[in-house]
Amino acid sequence: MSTQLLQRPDHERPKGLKLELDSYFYDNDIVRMFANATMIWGVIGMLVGLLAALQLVFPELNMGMEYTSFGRIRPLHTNAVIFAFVGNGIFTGVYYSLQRLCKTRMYSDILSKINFWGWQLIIISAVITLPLGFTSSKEYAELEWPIDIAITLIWVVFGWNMFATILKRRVRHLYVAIWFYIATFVTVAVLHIVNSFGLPISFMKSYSAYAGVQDALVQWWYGHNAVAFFLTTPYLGLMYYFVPKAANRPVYSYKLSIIHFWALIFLYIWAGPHHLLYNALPDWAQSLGVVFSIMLLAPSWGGMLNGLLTLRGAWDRVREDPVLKFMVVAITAYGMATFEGPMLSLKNVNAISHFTDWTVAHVHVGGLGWNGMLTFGMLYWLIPRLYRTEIYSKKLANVHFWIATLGILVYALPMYWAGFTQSLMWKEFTAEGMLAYPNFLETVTQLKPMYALRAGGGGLFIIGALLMGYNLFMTSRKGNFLKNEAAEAAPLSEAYEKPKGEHWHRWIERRPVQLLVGSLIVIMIGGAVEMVPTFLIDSNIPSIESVKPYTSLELHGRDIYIKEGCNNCHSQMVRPFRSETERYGEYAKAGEFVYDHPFLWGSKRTGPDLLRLGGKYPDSWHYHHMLEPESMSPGSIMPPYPWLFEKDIDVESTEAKITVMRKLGVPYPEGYESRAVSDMNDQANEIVANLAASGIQVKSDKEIIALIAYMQRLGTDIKADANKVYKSYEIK
Amino acid sequence: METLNCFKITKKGGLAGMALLLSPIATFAQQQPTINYMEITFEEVMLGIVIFMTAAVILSLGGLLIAFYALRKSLTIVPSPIEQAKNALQPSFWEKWNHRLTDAVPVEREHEVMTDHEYDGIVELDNSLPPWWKALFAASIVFALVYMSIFHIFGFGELQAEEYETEMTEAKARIDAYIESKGGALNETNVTYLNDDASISLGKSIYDSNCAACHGSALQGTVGPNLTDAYWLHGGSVGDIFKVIRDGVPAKGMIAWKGQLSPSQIQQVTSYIISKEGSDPANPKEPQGDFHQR
Repeated sequence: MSTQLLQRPDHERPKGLKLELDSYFYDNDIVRMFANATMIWGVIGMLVGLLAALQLVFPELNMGMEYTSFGRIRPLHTNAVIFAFVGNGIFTGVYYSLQRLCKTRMYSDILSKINFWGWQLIIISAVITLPLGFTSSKEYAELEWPIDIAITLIWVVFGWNMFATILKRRVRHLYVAIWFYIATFVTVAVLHIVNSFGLPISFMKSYSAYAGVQDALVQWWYGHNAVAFFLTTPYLGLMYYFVPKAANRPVYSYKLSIIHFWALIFLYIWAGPHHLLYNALPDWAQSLGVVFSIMLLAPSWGGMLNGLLTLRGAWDRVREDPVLKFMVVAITAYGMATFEGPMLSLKNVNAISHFTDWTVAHVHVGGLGWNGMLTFGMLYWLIPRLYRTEIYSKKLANVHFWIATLGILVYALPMYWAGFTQSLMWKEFTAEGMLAYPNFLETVTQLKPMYALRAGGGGLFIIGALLMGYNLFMTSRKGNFLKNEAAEAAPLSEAYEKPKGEHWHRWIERRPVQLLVGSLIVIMIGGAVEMVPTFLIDSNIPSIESVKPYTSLELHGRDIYIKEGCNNCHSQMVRPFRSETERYGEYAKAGEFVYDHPFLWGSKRTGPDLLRLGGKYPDSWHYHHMLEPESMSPGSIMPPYPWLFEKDIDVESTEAKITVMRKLGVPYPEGYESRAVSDMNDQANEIVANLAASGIQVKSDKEIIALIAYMQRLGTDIKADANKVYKSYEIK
Repeated sequence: METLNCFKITKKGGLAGMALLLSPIATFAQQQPTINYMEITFEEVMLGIVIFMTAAVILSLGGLLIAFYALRKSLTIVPSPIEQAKNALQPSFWEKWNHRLTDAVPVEREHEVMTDHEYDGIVELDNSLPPWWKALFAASIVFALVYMSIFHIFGFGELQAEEYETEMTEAKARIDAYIESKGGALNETNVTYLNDDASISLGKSIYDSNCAACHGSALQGTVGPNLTDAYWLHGGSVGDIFKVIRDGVPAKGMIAWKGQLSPSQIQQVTSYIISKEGSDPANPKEPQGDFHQR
C-alpha cells in the first residue's frame, strides 16, 4: 500500500498548468566525503576514549608525557566523538536528505566544500591543540578562541548553504526533518557564541568573560544544550528521514511531530541548571532546572514514539534488516536516556548520581546507543545507495549489530555499578559519626574492576565500528559511485492555493524564515529567564568581604591547573551534605567564585574535591604528590607530572593576564601589573624556602611552585577574618 | 454493560495496586542514600510487609477478576451464529485497553488518517496523540507547578541550606546519643596508653595507611618529624600526641585527623607510636623539639 502512496501525483500542482520538469543533479560527492570522515573520526575518537578508559585502570598508560596524560586526553575524546564523529554524521545526513527533501542540489558546491574542509581543519586543530594543553577548561567547549572563531565561521557557512538550499527548493512545505535542522543551526550558533565569550591574553589563551556562578550557569546552559541541539535535534531530523526511508513506512503522526518539535526545543533550553543541583547556584535556578527536565520527558518520548511507531507493519523486516535493527536500538536507547535524564534531574537522585560514573553511564547510553547506532544504521543504508549496489555482507553487518549492542551493555552496566558503589561509599558513616571510608582513594580503587570491564565494552563497540568500516569499504569496491545523481521535479509555482481544512501548522512549513525566527525566539526564552536575573540581581550571588583576587603566582598556577585538565577528575564544589562537609570542609558559597574566570567546579570526581585543599597539606606533600602521586597516596591512579618540575613559569604573559582580568572586572589595584612579577618572586621564594626546610631543593621559577601556590590558596579566603595580616604580595 | 463495569473495576484496582507497589520506591528515593539496616525498626518492617501484602492482594484480586471474566466468557452457553458474528466484530478486552492507551488507527485502516503530505517519498499519517502520552505530559506540567509552588511560593519545602542544617542537627543528636550510650567521648584529658597487642596492631594498620607517607614507614620521619626519638615538638604525653593527631598543626602542615579517624582510632595510633619509642630505625630524621621523659 505504501508503494501506491509513494507514486501519488503531485497534488500541489495547479490545475491546467502544463507540466514542465526541471532537471538537476544531487551532489552525492559531498555526502560521501562526510560519510568517510564520520567513519574515520568515529574510530579515532573512540580509540582515544578507550585509551582514557584504560588509563584509569593502568596509570602507566599516561606514558609519562604531558601530551598523553588523562587530563588532556579526556577532552580530546569528548570533542572527537561529539564534533568529529557525530558532527560529520550530522553533515552526512543533512547533505543527503536536505537535497532530496527540497528537490534541489545544495545551493553552492563551494560552500559545501568549505563546510567540509573547514570542519576537518577545525577537528585537526583540536587534535593538535588539546594534547598541547590549549584549553578553556569549559566542557565540550575546550577549544581556544581562534578555533572558536573558525567554528563560528564554518557553522555560518553551513547555515548559509542549508538555508539558501531551502529557499530555492521545489517542494512547497518543509518536512519535519528540516524543522529540526533549522532549530539545530540557530541554537548551536547562539550557544556557541554566548558560551565562548571571553578576552584573549595571547594567541591560544583566553579568559572567560563570565566568572564563578555566572560562568557555571552559562557553561551548563551550553553543555546541556550541546547534548540537546548537537546530539539530539539534528539526529531526530535524521531519524525522521532515514527511518521511514529504510522501513518504507509512513511517519506515524504528523500532530505528534508538531507538538514534540516545539515542546522539545522550548523546554530543552531551560534544563541546563540540572547539571548544577546542590551546587552554589541560586535555588530558584536549580528548581527551574528540575521542573523543566521533568517536563522534557514527554516531548522527548514523542520523538521516540514517532520513530518506533513508524515501524508499525515493518516489524517482520526488523528481524532481518540490519539497518532497521540499528535504528530500533538507537531509538530505544534514546527513549531510555531521555527517561533517565529527567530522573537524574530530581534533586534526591542527583544527590547520589552527581560527580560519579552514573553520569558517565548515562551519557554513553545516549552517545553509543542513540548517536552511534543511528549513525551506523544511516551509513549501512546510505553507502550501498551511493555506490548503487547491495551491502557487501549482510551477515557482517548483523555481527556488527550484536557486538555493538553487547558493547553498550558491557560498557553501561559496570559504570552504573561503579556510580552506585562510589556514591554509597562516599556517604556512609559509622555509628560514631565518622566517614566509613575517610580515605577517598579507597572509593576509587574499589572501582578498578568496573573500569576494566567498561574498557572491554568500549573495545567491543570499536571492533564493531571497524567491521563496519571494512564492510562498507568492500561495498564501495564492488559498486560504482555516482557523483552527481540526476533528478527531475516541477518548479514551485508562484501561486499557492490553500486546500480546504488545511492544518494550521502548514502555514509556517511554507515559510522557512518565519520558522527560523520562530525557533530562535522559542529557544531564547529559557536562557534569558535564567541568565538575566543571575547576572543582574546581586542577591543571587551574596558577596563575601574576605574573598580577594588571586596573586600573580596563583593565577599562573590556576592556568597550569587548567592546562593540565585537573578539572576533568577533580571538582571544586563541596555540596551542602554532611558527607561532603565532613570530608572536605565547609560547603561552597556563591560569593567565593566571583574572581574565577573561568569557573572550575568540575563535573566528575575521579579524584577528591579540591575546593578546600588550601592549607590541608604542607607544600612538600604537594611537591612529592605531583612528582609521584603514589609516594603520598599509595595505589593512586593519578598520573605523575614530572614536566612541571622542569618547565619555567611563563612570566612574559603575567602582565597581559592581570590586564585582561582587570578588564573582566577583577579589582587588581592600580599599577599591579608592573609589580606582579616581583610580587610573584616573593611568593615563590617563600614556597621554595618552605620546601628547603623539608629538604627539597627547587628553583623558584618552575611551574610546580605556581601550582603549589594556587592549591594552597584554594578555598581559604572564606576562613580569613577581619584581622588577617596580608603579606606583601597578597591582594587586599 | 457488565463487561464495562468489570473493566472499570480492574482499571481502578490496577492503578491502586501500582501506586501501592511503587510507594515504597518513592519513600526510598526521599531518603539519604546511606541506609543503616540495623536502624530499621520492627514497626517499619511490619509496615513494609503490610504495604507489600496489600499490594500483592490487590494485584491478585485484579488478576482474579480478569480470570473470572475470561472464565465467564468461555462458560457462557454457545451463542447463536448471529451473536457469534456480532461478537467477532466486537474488540477484545485487550484491544479496547490498547485502544484507550494509544488511540491508534490500526495499520490495516491507516489510509483513513493519511495526510496529503509527501517528501521524497516519505508520507505522513496523522494518528492522534497517544492518550497515555498526553497524560504523561500533563502530569509533568502539574508536577512542575506543584514543585515550584512548594519550594518558591508557599515555602513548604526546605531549600538546600535549610536541608543541610536539618541533616546536621539530626546527625549530631544521633551521634551524641550513641556516644552517651558508650560512656562518653575520649579526649586529651582522659585518653590512656593501650598496651594490648590488639590495639597496637590496629594502631599500626592505621599508621601504615595514613601516617607513613609523611612520617616514614618505620616512623623515622621524612616530611614530618621522627616519632621514635624522645623529642617532641608539641609535647610527648599520651594526651599531647592524641591532641596533635586530632586537631593537627596546620601551620606546620600536620593535618587534623578528626574528620577521618574516630577518637578510639586516634587512641590506637597514639598507643602504637608510643610503643615504637626507642625502636631506632634506619635513616632517622634528626631529633626536633623538647625531650620528654616517658
